[in-house]
Amino acid sequence: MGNDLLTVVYESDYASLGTYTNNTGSIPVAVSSTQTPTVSVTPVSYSAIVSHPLSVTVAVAGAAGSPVPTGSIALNSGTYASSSVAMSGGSATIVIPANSLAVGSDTLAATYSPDTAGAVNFTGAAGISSAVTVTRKISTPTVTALPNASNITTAQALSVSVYISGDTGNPAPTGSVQLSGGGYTSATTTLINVGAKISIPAGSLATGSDILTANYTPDSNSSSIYNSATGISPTVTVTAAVKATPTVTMTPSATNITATQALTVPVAVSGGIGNPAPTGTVTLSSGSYSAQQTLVSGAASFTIAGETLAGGADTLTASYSGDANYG
Amino acid sequence: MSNSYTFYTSVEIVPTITVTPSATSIAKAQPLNLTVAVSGGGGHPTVTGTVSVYGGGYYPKVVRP
Repeated sequence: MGNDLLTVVYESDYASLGTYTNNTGSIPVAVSSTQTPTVSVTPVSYSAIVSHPLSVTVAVAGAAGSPVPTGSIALNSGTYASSSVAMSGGSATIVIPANSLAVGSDTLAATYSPDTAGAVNFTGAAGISSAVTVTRKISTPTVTALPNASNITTAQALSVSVYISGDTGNPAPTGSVQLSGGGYTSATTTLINVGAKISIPAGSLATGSDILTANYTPDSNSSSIYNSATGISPTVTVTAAVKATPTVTMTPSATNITATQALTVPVAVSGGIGNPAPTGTVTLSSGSYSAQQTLVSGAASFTIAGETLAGGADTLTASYSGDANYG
Repeated sequence: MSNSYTFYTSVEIVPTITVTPSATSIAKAQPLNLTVAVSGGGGHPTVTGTVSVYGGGYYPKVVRP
């Protein structure tokens, strides 16, 4: 090792004897104990999908005629770092797991570490690949629309849960959904944790068999990952509600009053125990008197000023307007 | 009467040896190829004979050019 001088000796044979003399020549050659091998990094493709694994072959070689390097290699790119992998025949293949590389242009760096036998002839070495273009695969998510009932009346609201499912390994879809069908179109609703709950007010859906369509629109965070998508609900049967007849009760503050005396008339409209309180208005009338009030919790109260009612026997009539449940 | 003698004087040529290595710097585990050319120069016959190489602990190997 070091600088060796190689000497070449020429000796003439019988044919050249007398014509040529013997002669010598020499040349210096530098000889080192180890050499730095070449590390080549070759992915199976230079165009990769971030959600797919990528197979990378790393080959380590010395100069021509050198022994096969032995040892291990490790691969790095961005935040990804492989474990150390033993080589066989001077190379090793490492599979980079899905979603390990950054989207964009990446280089893959490999490091060769010789083992005891390899260190006799080789030093450690490193190599990098050419640029690998890593992209996302734009996918179409699954849209699921689940009503909370399959049969409702026009007097009942319907709650619909909408879920957006993206590909495994991709970020959760973000954006908004809109529900339509049966003559109804909801407002655009922003997804929260890949879902949205949309309440369809009573009486909004047409009677018959309705199918609701949920349309997903990705926002700027998801538009490079997901397409817009549509999903439909199971059929919802909507029937016309049979309106119940509520009980209207008046309890005047007095049954006999003077001409100048005011009269208070509470009016209660009841659908019965367990039924929702009637909403809407109630109109109280008697002769030329008529007044209307909106029910609050099924009740209203009228005050008829003195000198309003005609003298004699007057009949008070309370009329209820009706609502979605009561006629 | 006269005697005459013709003397033929031969002048031996020192051939030129050219050694071309495959590399001038190598690792000890790396082989080295040497190309050796022995030439008598223009107009002279082809040089015949043997060449051998030694040095750096390498044992000579005789090769007929």
